[in-house]
Amino acid sequence: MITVNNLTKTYGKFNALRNISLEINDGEFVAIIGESGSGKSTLLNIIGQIDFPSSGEIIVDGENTVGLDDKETAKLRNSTFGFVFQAFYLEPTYTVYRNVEIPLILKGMKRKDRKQRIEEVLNSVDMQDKLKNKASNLSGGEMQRVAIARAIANNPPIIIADEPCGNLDTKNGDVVMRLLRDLHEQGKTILMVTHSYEHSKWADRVIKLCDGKIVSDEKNN
Amino acid sequence: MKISNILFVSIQNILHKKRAYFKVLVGFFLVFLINFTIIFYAGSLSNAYKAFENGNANYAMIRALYNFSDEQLSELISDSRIKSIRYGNRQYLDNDLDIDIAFGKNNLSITIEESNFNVFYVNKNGTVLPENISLAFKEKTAAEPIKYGRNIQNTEDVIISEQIAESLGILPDDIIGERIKIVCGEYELNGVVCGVLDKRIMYTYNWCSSDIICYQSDEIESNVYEISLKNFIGNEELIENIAKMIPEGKGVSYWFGDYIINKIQVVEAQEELCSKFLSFMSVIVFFVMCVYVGCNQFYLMRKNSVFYGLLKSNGVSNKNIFIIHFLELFLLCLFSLALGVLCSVGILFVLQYAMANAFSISISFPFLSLIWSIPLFIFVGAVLSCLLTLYIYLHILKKPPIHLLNTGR
Repeated sequence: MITVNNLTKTYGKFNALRNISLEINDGEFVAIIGESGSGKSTLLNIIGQIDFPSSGEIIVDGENTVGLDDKETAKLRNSTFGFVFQAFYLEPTYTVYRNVEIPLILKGMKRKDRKQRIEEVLNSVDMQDKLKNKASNLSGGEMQRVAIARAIANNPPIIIADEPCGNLDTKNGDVVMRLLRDLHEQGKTILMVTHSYEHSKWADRVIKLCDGKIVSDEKNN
Repeated sequence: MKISNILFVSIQNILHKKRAYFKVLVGFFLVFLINFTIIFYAGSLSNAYKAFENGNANYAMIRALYNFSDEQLSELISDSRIKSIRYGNRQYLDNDLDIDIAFGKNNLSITIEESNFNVFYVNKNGTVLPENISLAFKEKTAAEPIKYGRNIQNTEDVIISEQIAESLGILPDDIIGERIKIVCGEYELNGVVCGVLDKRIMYTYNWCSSDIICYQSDEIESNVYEISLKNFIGNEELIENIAKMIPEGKGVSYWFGDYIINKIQVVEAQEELCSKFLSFMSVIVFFVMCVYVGCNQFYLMRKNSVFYGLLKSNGVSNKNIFIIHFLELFLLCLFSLALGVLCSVGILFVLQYAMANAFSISISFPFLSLIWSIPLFIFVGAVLSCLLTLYIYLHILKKPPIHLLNTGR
């Protein structure tokens, strides 16, 4: 469970987030929507322990993350979160296999186990046939599927997805959303930022941000 | 998270981006190579110039003498009477040589067998060097000349310098017509002073007809020595040895027959200018290198921004990313530095060999340049790597990966 209390983030004089408070339960699929500059990505990054709040607190599974040092934050990121980005951020010179392998190596998994796990996750995103392809040779949709495979490789309980369909056409966007939905059904907590109301319909809950404030927090039917 | 896992991933990353790293490596290498070659060559020239200054190099002289025509050279080397010259305390004289002439900073030494003069040393103050050689003369007030040695054979007219006359407490005009006795070891010259050269040091040795004149002339420049080689016929060894007597930091004109060679001054100036120019260039290239290395570090940082972002989003701490980035850059710098130094040393040795063969010019290897420049480069490489990595650490890694990643492609 993630609890955010009175979260504020300022960049100089600009208030990106103003007194945000919310709770995200385990296994929830939450979509955060809003216009550009509304603070949705900032909120996502702070929850994902990549950025730091100016004030307020974030409690992840009962542990207040504010005040954790660099090492503890890194450890929390590694064990708890998987990230999916709009621009995929795959290493283009790496093969699909190598891209997915990075988090597993960092975790210290043995070679044999890594191979098994990579095949497993690539299978789950339907990319098992392309594990020897270079990332630069994949289509946008395929890249994002590999990025999702990489995000879930370490089996993190929370997936942070920042505009996962932003660079994809409708068809591939739907494929990615279906994958996220599948992950949610497997018990993962999904936190997704999106511009698209269509994509937000895949979530259980939609939080709307405007000028750094939550203007609505509704459950999807 | 184990550092070995991070290192493993980083090494894999380097292998995957070997073209980018290779490009940077080659760039670093070329910059180091050019810079070190210039520095070493400047150091070599500087060494040569210093050696030249010390009268220990025949570099410039030979260069000047190359401008002699074949006839001039053959005429110059046909006289075997003069075989060696020495400068200052340096010994270039074989005991069996007929004549030994040495022009020191403050002294002149000549050995002329025919005149029974073994060694003759006089400095500007009239002091005789070394200890076993002395100058004696009949002072105006002295009743008896100081006598050393034996075999008084010649009585010749002697012209002495004003400086010597003054150092002896005698007005120049007073000494003319006086008999002086120059005693060198067991030999002596008994002569009559027939003249004092105003503001010059002139020694004439008519008794051996060698007509060797060395004088310091105020008419040209106080620091310019002129050496007349008229009738000064020697051999190749002589020619080389003449260079060894070039006074410290002085331009020299050589007269040969009707020809006056002023090349030495030009050559010397060129050497000095060249050395200074190369030193200046090495400083410029050094700064260019710093900028280049800095740019390449940014290039690598941009190339790796996705990778660092992934490391961060997968739980690698900023500190570890910092260490890895620094190590990568520093090792890259060191490796290319080592290659650059090795190759520039090789180039310099080839240059030395070529110059020694083509021009009989020896350039000593500038070990001093090597000694100071390598730690300097390592230091600069480390400082640059640190500063840039610190920049990344403070301004990029502290921010969300999206900022970091946006610096990439």
